[in-house]
Amino acid sequence: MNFQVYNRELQVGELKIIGVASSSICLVGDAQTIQLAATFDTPAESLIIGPFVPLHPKI
Amino acid sequence: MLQRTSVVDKLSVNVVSFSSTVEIGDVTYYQALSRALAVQRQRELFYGTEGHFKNYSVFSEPIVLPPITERVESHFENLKPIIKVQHINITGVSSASLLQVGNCRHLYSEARIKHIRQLEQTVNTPVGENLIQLNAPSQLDIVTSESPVSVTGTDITESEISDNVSNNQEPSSTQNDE
Repeated sequence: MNFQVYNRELQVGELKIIGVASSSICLVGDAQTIQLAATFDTPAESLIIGPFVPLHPKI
Repeated sequence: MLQRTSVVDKLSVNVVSFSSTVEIGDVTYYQALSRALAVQRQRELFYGTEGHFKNYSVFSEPIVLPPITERVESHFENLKPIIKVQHINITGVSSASLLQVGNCRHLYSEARIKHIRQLEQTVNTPVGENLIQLNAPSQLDIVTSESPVSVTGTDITESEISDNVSNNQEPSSTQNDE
């Protein structure tokens, strides 16, 4: 595949962003490769109802 | 490629946290990793030394990137050598994120989050299929005396729940062994 890009004038007035989070990027410029990965685990077992017990510490 | 100059007149950021970066200038390699155990408890309680990433697979499982099979011939023509932004206003940059003014050749970033919620058990709450009944801290083989916060908050021995818990002691301990 051929990928031809013409970068003409690029001018932005104002950027308003609340949050850049969990392996994200806000880039003013060029990049060659970008790899962003994020995992978020909250399965049913994550909801624990009962007496408060500490998580298993480092043994 | 990567020959354009970035110009930002004004940059305001409030918070940069947890393996995040604000980069002004060019970068060849950027790599960031953030791991988080997010525990929400109904009551304000933290035991101090608890939690270990090795106990949760989300922190060790491989993240498979889709393979690039197609060969791409790229050609860039930068007719204007400047990228211009007058004002950037960002409230927060967090968890292995990047805010950059400039060029970045290779970028890899990874964020892994395990989210756990703990709710207090009321006396007559039935334990559903999805919910795990837990033992009292004294029944676990964890040394809690060293914790900076006392565990008297979970004193259930004198409450009404204690009957409930001791009745369920047999099945719940087998659950924990799993």
